[in-house]
Amino acid sequence: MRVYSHYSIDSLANSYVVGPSGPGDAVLIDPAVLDAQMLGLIEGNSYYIRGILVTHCERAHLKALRAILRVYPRAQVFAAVPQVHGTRANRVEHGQRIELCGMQFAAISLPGHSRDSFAYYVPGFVFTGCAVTAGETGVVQNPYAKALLISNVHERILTLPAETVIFPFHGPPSSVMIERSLQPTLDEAELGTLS
Amino acid sequence: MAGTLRHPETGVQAYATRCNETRHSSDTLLVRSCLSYDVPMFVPGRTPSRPASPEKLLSLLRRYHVIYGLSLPRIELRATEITAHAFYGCNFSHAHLRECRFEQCAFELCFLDSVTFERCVFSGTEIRNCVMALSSFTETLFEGSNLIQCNFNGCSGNDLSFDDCDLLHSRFDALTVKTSLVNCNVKQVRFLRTEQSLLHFRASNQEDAVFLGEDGW
Repeated sequence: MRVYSHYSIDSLANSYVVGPSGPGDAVLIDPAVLDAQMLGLIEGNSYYIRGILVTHCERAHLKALRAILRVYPRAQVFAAVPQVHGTRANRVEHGQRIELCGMQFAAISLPGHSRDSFAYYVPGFVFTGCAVTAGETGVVQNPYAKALLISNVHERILTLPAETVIFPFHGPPSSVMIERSLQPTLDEAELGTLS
Repeated sequence: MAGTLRHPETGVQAYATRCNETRHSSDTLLVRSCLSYDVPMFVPGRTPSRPASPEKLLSLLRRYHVIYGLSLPRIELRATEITAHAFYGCNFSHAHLRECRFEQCAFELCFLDSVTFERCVFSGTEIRNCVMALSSFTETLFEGSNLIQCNFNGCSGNDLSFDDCDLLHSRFDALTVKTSLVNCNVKQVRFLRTEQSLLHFRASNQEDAVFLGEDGW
């Protein structure tokens, strides 16, 4: 299995392609952009995009969804909601295993940044979208959402194997080991107040 | 059928033929002679319990200029000069680099976390999407280099300098190392939970950077 990262300078955002060592079917995480570099990355490896995993149904994550589906019409879309950007999607739930291209992705719900935020874990890697970035949790709108997100990150992401690489939608990659010492924490009193 | 769709108008077939991939006998190592350096890739590597041998790396560097997916954590390098080599998806976690000089090199999607850098110089180097979090820097200089979207979170040490560098969208969270940024682009660079007294800017666009405190959500 290989992971390819694509950085869009326009939206300062990352998309990822996960595929086999040789030619074959691949998975695209967060179709933020379809430019010559992304197309080259897919076609240069003789990949066919068979699955699209959406971490969060915000426009920035989906800007290239329709274009990708026109190029790869047999791709299945997976998201927290049944319809994404006017396209039918397979609705995912927390803990669900998604079999795609010979790989098994585990869907991890991370509400807080938004209600529909999901991370996708495949052994060795976790794609966290906007919910977790290097050294930070995602932007939230109120203290309750902050507490909810931080507690979910500690419970569901930082308990993954230490060597797991974190690939966020915004910003550089990181690892679970690094984030265990850098992610913000809520003190017990604050969590107690909110529980 | 997988991989049958082609788009000649985008030149992707030409791109594919530019890449002449060869496989090295080592398990996770892939070496490509590729004209294009724009394919960042990460291949999971094994983490040996013993420090990797510097001879292995130096022998590879003599044979190849572009190295993919090499995993040599805890490698110790002293007084080594590496020029015009590219590393993609490589893992050098917990390495110890003393008096090393990297000139005209490229690093992309590489893990250099928890590395000890002592009196190292990176000159004219392209570093993208790399992780240098939790590393320690002593009198280390990045000059005339691009460090796009790199992770410097939690770095410590006593002296880290950037001179004439592009640091677009990099992160410097919870730094405890005195950091000097001279003539640098720090657009969208985040300095979270870092004491501003540790940061020295000169001729840089710090008004385009992001500074947040403990409660900066």
